[in-house]
Amino acid sequence: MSADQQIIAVVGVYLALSLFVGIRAGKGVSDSATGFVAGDRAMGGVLMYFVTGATIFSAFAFLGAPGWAWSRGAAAFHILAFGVLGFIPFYFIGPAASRLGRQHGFVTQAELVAARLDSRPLAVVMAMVSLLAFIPYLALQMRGSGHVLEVLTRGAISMQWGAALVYGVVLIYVWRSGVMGVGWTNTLQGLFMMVLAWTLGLYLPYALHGGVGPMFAKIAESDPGFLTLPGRTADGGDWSWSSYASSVFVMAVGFSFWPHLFQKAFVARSERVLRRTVVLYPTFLFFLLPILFIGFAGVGFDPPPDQADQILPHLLLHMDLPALVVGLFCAGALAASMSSGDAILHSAASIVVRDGWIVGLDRPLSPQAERHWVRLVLLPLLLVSYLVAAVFPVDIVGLLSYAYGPVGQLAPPVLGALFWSRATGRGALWGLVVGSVVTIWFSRFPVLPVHGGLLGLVANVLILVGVSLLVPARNSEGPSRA
Amino acid sequence: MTPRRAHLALFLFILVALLSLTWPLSVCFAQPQPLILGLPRGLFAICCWAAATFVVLLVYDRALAKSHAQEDA
Repeated sequence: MSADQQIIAVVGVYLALSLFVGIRAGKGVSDSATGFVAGDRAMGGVLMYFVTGATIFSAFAFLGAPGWAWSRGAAAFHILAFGVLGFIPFYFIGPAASRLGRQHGFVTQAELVAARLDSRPLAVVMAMVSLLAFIPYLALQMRGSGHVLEVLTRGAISMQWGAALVYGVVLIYVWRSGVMGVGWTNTLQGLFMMVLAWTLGLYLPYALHGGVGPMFAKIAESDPGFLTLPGRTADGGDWSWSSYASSVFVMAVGFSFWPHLFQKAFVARSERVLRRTVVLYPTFLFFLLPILFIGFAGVGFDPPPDQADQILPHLLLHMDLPALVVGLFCAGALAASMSSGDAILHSAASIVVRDGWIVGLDRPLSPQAERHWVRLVLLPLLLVSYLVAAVFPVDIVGLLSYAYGPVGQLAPPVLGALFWSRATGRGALWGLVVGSVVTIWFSRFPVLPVHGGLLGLVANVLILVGVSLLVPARNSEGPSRA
Repeated sequence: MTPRRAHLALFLFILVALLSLTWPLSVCFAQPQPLILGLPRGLFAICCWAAATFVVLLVYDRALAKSHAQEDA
């Protein structure tokens, strides 16, 4: 058996195992929309830990993060920095949302906010903003999985075919088992990724530099600026403190408001489970640390990869490692991509049906019909994301950073709906619209050296507060305060 | 610890952590050398904040749980 065949065989076994676990996970769950979207609100602590942890362990972690470390030095530290504080708001909003979800049957973020602020258009706009962030994020996961397969099989499987194969498997288990399929496969994938991250993160610096300490000492000696915060830009210039700090801030703010992460508030068995998940979350960051080591290990490696995102597979291919080891890494990177991609896909489909159709357009569906439509919507969403992944050649962390801009705009309406009695639907709606437009505009045409999402957040909060204070207070007949 | 004190302590922790992870306090850890435990100072500082966040959240969670248990009793 040739090396390429061995790699493909390992990947095949991994995909088959994921498929098996994902399909089995759906047994025992009710055939209603609550079963498919919220797992009958019965997810325990272990699954919650891995489901939320898998959010950071995506394709960007295994490919984008080492790529940034290799090409932009200390700038890559921001990937770890935003995760430190990013999940803390969920300690408060998670249990509050969970309580309201049980009382009123909510299964999505927008549904909760729209009901609290008594505004159907808000549900539709929140759904659109969510999709605006989800599509590039899902495209990022597909691109990552396709990249890995293409590089490690030396082009035997192209990026397009690789992404189609991996996400074909994801489609099957999400279709069959809904959120429980996501939860159990994330647990399998999370454990696998943790072991691989530390194994490679310690092995590569040791093999190439004699250890982690000697590696950083060597880099600091040859190019001290490379490891100096805030690091470098993509073209090798100095990244500004304002760009670094605003990126950390916007990504930390957006973190808890990713709709697929927020939805887990409706999935958890109890509020206690949610709080414990947040408390344990920082421990997951220590599995990102070796990922950065991998990127730094590639500094000075000859020959360099064509693209920064390919540094890890490039190193593995050029170090004459056994095909089994390369195959295991390949499976680990696919696990990282799938563990985020499946949650996003599942969440996006439920948002389209629940927030767009049922709440936004006021077209009620039976629980079985709703589940049926959520499943059907999986397909076009996957197709659109696939086209984005195949057409737009953006680097992986860049794509992620863009996606966080619109997601951060969901924070003011959610916080207003849960914790500010004077917030109104009109204020939240206009704040969200203007904030999203400002974010996208300044991300596309930057005029200040800050993340576009920061300017969007300022505009969003000002309009939410200003409009809410100007218009009459909302009718308080809706769901009670958290 | 009363819930009020726990809230205040968590708020202050988040504020200091935010300033340290973004600006201006992160400037203090900008230079990589001397390496600490083999890591550049900036990276080591972020790891310390991650560990501290875990401990602070654990203490905060226990303080609130204890307070709620006393109220229920």
